[in-house]
Amino acid sequence: MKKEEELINEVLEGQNDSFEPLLRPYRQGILNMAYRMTGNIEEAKEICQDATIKVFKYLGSFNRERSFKNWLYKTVVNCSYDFLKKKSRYNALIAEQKKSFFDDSYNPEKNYSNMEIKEKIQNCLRVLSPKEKAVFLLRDAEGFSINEASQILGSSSNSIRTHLSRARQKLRKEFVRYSNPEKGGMFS
Amino acid sequence: MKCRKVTRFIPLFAGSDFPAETIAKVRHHLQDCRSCQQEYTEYQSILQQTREWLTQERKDWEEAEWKKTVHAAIEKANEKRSWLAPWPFKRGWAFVLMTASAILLSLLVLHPSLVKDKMRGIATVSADPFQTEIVSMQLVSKETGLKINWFFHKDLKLEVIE
Ligand SMILES: [Zn+2]
Repeated sequence: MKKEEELINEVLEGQNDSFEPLLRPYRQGILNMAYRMTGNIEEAKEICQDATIKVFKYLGSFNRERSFKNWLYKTVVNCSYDFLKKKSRYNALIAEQKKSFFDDSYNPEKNYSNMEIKEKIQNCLRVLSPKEKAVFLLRDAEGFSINEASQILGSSSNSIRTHLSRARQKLRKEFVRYSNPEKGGMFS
Repeated sequence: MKCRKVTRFIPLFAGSDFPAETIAKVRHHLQDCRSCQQEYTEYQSILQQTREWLTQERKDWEEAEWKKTVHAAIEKANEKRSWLAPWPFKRGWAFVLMTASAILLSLLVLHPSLVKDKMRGIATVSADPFQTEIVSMQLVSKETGLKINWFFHKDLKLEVIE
């Protein structure tokens, strides 16, 4: 397998065939990142399309001393933000938006407790702000460190920690609400 | 450290996302304080389940769809690049020129006095303040003394009289 460095050089020299192998190791990661940002797989694919166009177009201006992976994720997160902005502009009804969030059919092979966790996490993703969501997903789903997340999102590590802490507090609320439904209602 | 301060850090501490310099202090508190310790283990278990689920339950591309996306990206990026290539034959420049002339025209029609100030004697613009049906502009060449009168009607018809 060719090195990332080499592939980038080849794409910049005009060998378009090297673009796919350059992105290949991250294709699942970026799809899932976008999917969990929007809650809709078709929209996630659209976001990935936008992001890959940008990456191809601006590869020449990418700072080679930085990590390509981080830059790619940064592009995907920014495209997701743009998408969410557009979506909230056109989707006047928030209720409608909530309904369409994660409406994919569930996998019947999975056991019940897995379904419970799914619901808790998806409920949590619905209530997070875009930035909280991005930080939480980068750290807890994609496994980036705080420093890497701060590079990707262009914020200080303190700001990343604040958002991550808030996101996890909201996550816990969902877990608690789920286990005591009489204690935590709609307005808890 | 007080409980209130510690509980703020617990969500981060449970995911090992805490700056090293403060870890000792929090750990010390957790050894002594039962309620904080309970909260800590709760967060740990929630995070573990969540991370596990998020890394296991992942969507994936169909191979053909993925390849199509990458190829479309290359095509679209090239298309966008050529859009603003050297003028005068590209759509991009034609659009820019058309927009510029549209702005100029609307300036002339709506604010003739504004244009008059900018042209400083090369052109004179007159408009009836009570009836802006027609705006006229006289261009006088400094070298040849040739005069050209431009008339802009309200409906954007243009008349040129030499
Ligand atoms: Zn305590």
